[in-house]
Amino acid sequence: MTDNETVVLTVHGGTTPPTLAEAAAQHSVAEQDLNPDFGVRPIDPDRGLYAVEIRADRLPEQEQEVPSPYQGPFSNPRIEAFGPVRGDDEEPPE
Amino acid sequence: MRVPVLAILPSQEPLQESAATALDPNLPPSSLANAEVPSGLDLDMSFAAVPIGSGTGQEASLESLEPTQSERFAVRAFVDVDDPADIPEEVDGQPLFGDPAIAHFLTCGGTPPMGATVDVATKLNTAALSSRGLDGSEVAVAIADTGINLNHLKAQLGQMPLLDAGNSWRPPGGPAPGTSPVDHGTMCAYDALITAPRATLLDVPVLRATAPGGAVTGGFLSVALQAFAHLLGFWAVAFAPGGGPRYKALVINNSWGIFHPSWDFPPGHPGRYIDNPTHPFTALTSVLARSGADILFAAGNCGTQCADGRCQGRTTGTICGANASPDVLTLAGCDTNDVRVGYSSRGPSIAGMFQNKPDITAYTHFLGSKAFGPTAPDSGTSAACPVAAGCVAAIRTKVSPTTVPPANLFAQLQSTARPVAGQVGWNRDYGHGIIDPDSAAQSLGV
Repeated sequence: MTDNETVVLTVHGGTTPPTLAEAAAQHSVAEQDLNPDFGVRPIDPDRGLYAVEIRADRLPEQEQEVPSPYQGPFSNPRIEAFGPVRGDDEEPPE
Repeated sequence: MRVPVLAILPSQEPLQESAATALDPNLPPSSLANAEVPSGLDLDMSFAAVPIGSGTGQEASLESLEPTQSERFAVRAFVDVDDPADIPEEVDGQPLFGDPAIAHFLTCGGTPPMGATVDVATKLNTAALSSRGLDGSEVAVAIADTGINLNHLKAQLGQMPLLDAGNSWRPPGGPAPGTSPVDHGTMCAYDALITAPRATLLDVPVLRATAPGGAVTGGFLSVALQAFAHLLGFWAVAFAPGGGPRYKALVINNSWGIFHPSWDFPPGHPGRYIDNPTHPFTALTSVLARSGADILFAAGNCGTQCADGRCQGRTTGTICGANASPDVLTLAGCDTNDVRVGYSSRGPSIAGMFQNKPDITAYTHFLGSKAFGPTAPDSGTSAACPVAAGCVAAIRTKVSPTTVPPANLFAQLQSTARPVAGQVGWNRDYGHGIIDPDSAAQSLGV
């Protein structure tokens, strides 16, 4: 994997999303390690499932044993356009 | 297996007569049935013998190519072998040559435009759709891309398209909706408006990550996740009875994806994206689709014949991640001659995801938005995807997602798609065929 400077973690809440501090506590990380600009985003609000973003180097050495379903870290790969992009040196459609 | 070959035979009367008849249709019909043919060679009786003179490759005179003068003739025949490696170099001393299938060159990245917007509109029968009021009115089309430039669209379309700036999504520090530099996102917006000119654009610049030098190269999946979460919220409000600005439907265009597994976590990691339906982004995509949003993804540009360099030579199992979700419509690309473009990713999808992708094919590689210059085509499956998104938006003008949910509409688009020659059911190049929005709309009663 390259360029994965951040990863995504899922967190659980109710009908409203958990706060950033509550999300951090669920993964035993510091609140300031979570990306405040990303915040807490809904994945499946009906199931109380939300997501937060954290720098990969701030993950705990040993992820705590978590019950299923898996909560992360999830990959945050780069994405690119499937067509020409200005400033790209390669020939279209690259 | 039966392999077609070209065989070189010495002159003999049936070959002379066959060649002469081919040159002069007034001569009586001839047959190769009496030709002396080496054992193991099954002559193709429908292929007239071709005089080749001495057949040595030396410069031949016209006289030496006269049927009566030619020392040798080329004929078409078949040999039966178990393996292509077993094809003999000669039969009874007569040399054999390959007779491979030939076809016109596929459209690739450097190919000039094949047709223009008007040709695409004709192929999609947009006039018929428009005459029935299927023009995207009150339908929101989110362009999740590099951002939209409204002024360029106005210049190309002759009128300012509709944009809902208030419900567009803006990354921190990003440009105001509709004011991004002319780029890939503007191309996508233009292509969506071909069939849905009255649709309202939502500018969702998920790919606006800036590399050193200022080139827009892409983004990260978490940015797309943020944007989709925004759209989920927007859609919940916009579509709620008595809610804020109401739209009949929300169509989300995604002409982006992952070019190579090396961009992701290693195989087997439970947090990997490309082959993991439970990854948060793919899960959110499914939730958004189940809430009634029509989500389209491009298949990718890793087609066998001329894959994008970023595919690193990998051309199988390249449709991956949310692009291979069963809840989205995945687009292959063809040119305006209905021929798949060589860079369009082929199915099946990466193992672990829904296999029968792409779902359907739409037009690309035509002179359209001119976002990349006055003669540069709108290309990639990137262009095919919004062309199809416009078709969906046009149909949604009169077909509500509450009565026909996205999955049902996509199934209708697949069942009414025009099969390419010889196609029965799904195939890995075109999916279920080439999109036919007029037929799909009629089948839905509009």
